[in-house]
Amino acid sequence: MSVSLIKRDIILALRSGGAWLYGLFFFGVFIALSAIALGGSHELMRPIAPALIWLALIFSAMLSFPSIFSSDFDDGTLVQFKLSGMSLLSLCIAKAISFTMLSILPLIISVPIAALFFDLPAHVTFACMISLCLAAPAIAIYGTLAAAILAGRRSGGFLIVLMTTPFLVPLLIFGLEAVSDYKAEGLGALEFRVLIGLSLIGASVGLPAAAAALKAQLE
Amino acid sequence: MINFLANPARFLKVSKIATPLMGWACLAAFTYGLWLALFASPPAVDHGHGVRIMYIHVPAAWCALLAYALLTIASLISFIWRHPLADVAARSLAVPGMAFTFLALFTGSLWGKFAWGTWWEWDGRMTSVLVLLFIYMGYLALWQVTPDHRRAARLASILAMIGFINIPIIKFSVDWWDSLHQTATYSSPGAPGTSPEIFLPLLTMALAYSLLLGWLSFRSVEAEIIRNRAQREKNAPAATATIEAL
Repeated sequence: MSVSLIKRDIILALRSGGAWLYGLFFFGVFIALSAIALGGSHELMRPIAPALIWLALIFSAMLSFPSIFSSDFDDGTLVQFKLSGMSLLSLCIAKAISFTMLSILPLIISVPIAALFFDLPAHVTFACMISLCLAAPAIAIYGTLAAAILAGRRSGGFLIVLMTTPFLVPLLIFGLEAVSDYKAEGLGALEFRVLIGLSLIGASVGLPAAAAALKAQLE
Repeated sequence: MINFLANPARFLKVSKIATPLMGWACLAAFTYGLWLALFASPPAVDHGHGVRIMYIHVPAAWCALLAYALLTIASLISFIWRHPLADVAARSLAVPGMAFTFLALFTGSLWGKFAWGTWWEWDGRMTSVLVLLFIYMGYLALWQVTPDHRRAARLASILAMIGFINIPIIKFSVDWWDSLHQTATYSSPGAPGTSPEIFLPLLTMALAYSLLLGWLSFRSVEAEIIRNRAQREKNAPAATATIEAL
């Protein structure tokens, strides 16, 4: 059932006239603006470039969070899902997976291009991509949770940023520590394992909570 | 106990005695504690009179965490048993909890300028308390934007419980950074502890803060019950008019 839901989300995104690419545009704009604000000096930007890439991805994801449930909630699709007796947990799993594929994966794939702007060495770029890949499930899951909690709220945009910040702080810390430790320790660095652990905790705690929040929204 | 307090009338009966008791005890504890902290206790060896900020700062941080722990318990009760007063209690705990968190950050900043020569330092503890402030803000904002009380209670309790699970993770992750703040003085095993002339005012102040938390949240629950009752009575006149006409 989840697979057909993921397929549906992807088809809807592809037929939306490129709306799913806005997050990618934002990612590029954020990076360009940071480079302009920092004066465009490679020496200045190189040490902080992984942090800027991480921030660009997190902000882009935060702006995409409200769209996870908004259209399905507004046009009543969610209520129909519930009436059809479908498990809300599998709905949340499907939403988290389709969010990862549509809103995070394109950004991770374009990290090498962002790295060109900052003149990053290849190993830092690679570490950045790996750390983002490992953190992506947790980002998507907490986004799904916050979107479920705020489904149907008009003022949800800023609030969703405030609400997901506490959950994203550990990811940000360990993600960037992982990038800086990659050179010395490779993929065996402790922080990579911690990121996997954080994603697993997110899956075991955040997904059932998102399902419970959806249930509360629909009752 | 949980079932007993579920009835608003019974709760009001209990709180009629308990709330003023806590209020007066809080006042007494604050009077004694502040006198001890500001006048009777000796200045610290390496902090001088600046140590007196600590008597405001440390209990505020303790009570901010205590308030969040109680908020989570109330949320759990509200989520599992759909307890009508537990969600009101959880919301009532959040406001003083957020105020204590802010006070802890504010006084900590003053003390930091005094002891370390900087208003703010991105060390583990300060960052985690700042994140706690964000959690409180998100929690209260959720109550604000959700018009339906029951739905708001359910969503807020989910958010509070997930936030509680995340607090140790946040603590662990920010401790990963190099820390300037001193480590736990009392709670960790083999901790140094302090002399009794510092410990006694600290304990009195912690008691006073806890009583203040209890007093504020009980008053707030009472106010909510009375507000609900007034709401119901305000809707009533149309019905009574028809009954009188009959």
